[in-house]
Amino acid sequence: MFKRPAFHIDVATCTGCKTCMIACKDKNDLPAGVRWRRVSEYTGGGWVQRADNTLTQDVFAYYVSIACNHCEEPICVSVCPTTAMHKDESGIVLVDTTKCIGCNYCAWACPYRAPQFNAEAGVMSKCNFCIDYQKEGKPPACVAACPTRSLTFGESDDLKKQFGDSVAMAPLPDPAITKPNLFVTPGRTAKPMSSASGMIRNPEEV
Amino acid sequence: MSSTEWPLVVFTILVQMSVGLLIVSELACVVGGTAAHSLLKYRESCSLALGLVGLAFSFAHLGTPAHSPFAIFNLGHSWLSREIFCTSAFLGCLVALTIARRMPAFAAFAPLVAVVAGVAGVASVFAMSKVYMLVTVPAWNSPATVLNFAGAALLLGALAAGLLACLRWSAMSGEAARVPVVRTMGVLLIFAALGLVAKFIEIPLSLFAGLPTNARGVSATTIVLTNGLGAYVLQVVLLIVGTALFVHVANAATRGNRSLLPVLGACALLIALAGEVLGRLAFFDMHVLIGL
Repeated sequence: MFKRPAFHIDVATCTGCKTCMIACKDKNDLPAGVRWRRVSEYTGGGWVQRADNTLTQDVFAYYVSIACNHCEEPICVSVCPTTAMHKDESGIVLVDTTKCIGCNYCAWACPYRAPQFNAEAGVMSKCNFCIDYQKEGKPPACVAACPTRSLTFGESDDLKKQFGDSVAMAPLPDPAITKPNLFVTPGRTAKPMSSASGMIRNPEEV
Repeated sequence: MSSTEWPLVVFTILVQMSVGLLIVSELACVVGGTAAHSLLKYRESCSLALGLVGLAFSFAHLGTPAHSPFAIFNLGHSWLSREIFCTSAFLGCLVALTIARRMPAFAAFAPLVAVVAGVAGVASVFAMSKVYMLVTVPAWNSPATVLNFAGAALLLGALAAGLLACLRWSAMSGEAARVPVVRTMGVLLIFAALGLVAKFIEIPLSLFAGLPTNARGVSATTIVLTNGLGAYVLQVVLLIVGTALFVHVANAATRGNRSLLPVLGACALLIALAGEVLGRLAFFDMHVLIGL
């Protein structure tokens, strides 16, 4: 078990197959509509006129697989009125369902949409970093399922040394807000944060 | 228009109206003297009733209401905890005030309890505003949210106090009916006007705050001005018509014309309330997160 686990996503190699989403839903037996991991399809571009008046295209598409980033300054924890949303000793953000009132306030606040309301249970639910698997020395279900090994996890400090600080990349929010334990290797076509050149094309899935 | 947040629409509006009714009517009593005390005799009871109904609606928003006692566990960080604490304190003060004004043994405490209730009410409306001023929701994270809620409290509170005064006055007969109403109605008119001004500043300010488009290509302002433009305009019209009708009521009252006052006062309140409901539905529709 890592002291402070974090996720790394390699956007350059992710094919957007969503196997991670399915593995997460399967492992945690999540009801319909509850998605602890979501893969956003970020696309944009169009026709561009060149200097010689001919046309070319600059279309792009990439995928961003996001669950809870177990942030250093999680907004869900600070806004939760009951303290049900909390960080454990490993920095993993968990929901104490014996305290949660199901007010949805954490879901309103989280820019990664990590907290998900479980209507059947009447409480919030979210990625627990497969803490049970980690204690057994196994990787989280989403990481284990990734066919391209684009999604990995590890000690936060090690990943930071390897990949640098969290990247401010569209469509992700400014990492300064919550300081996510998420490290990203952007692809060739990655757009800067708050870029208006692309759009999430599968909002119904994420 | 949002349909999922109805419990919060009702909760926020009724608690704000409750706070506004108490503060405006207590100040009217300070200015209006015994006449105002007589006209607004049941102000704390009505304020309490509004607050309790609002609070009851808030439970309908919760997935697990049985865990609600835990909701004040995070007073150090969560504005939602603070809002629940302040609103509960406000309602507790109203219970104490109602008792103090009905039982002579506790009457001496009434002025102090009224001041504490007013402070708790202001704290409740402020905390309620801060609940929605999330850094991740640009349309809400603006001074417009404070103006929105404070404006609703003043406008609806003044109109509710006006209705109470009209009802009480129309029920009076003989010598009692000659009670002077000018000062009381004047105070209520001033607060209604302040509330309307706050709404007029808030509306363009919130539309400006909601301009940023998120990664889904959605902007809060676009949502209300495309899907709900008619309702948004109607909100403004209803607020103006409700206030104008109240001005007419106050004017008729100061001329000593009591006929139809309760009906007109009720219409003024209901029209402004309808406008406020439309505005609050639009407010909840403007929840557009940054990021994913």
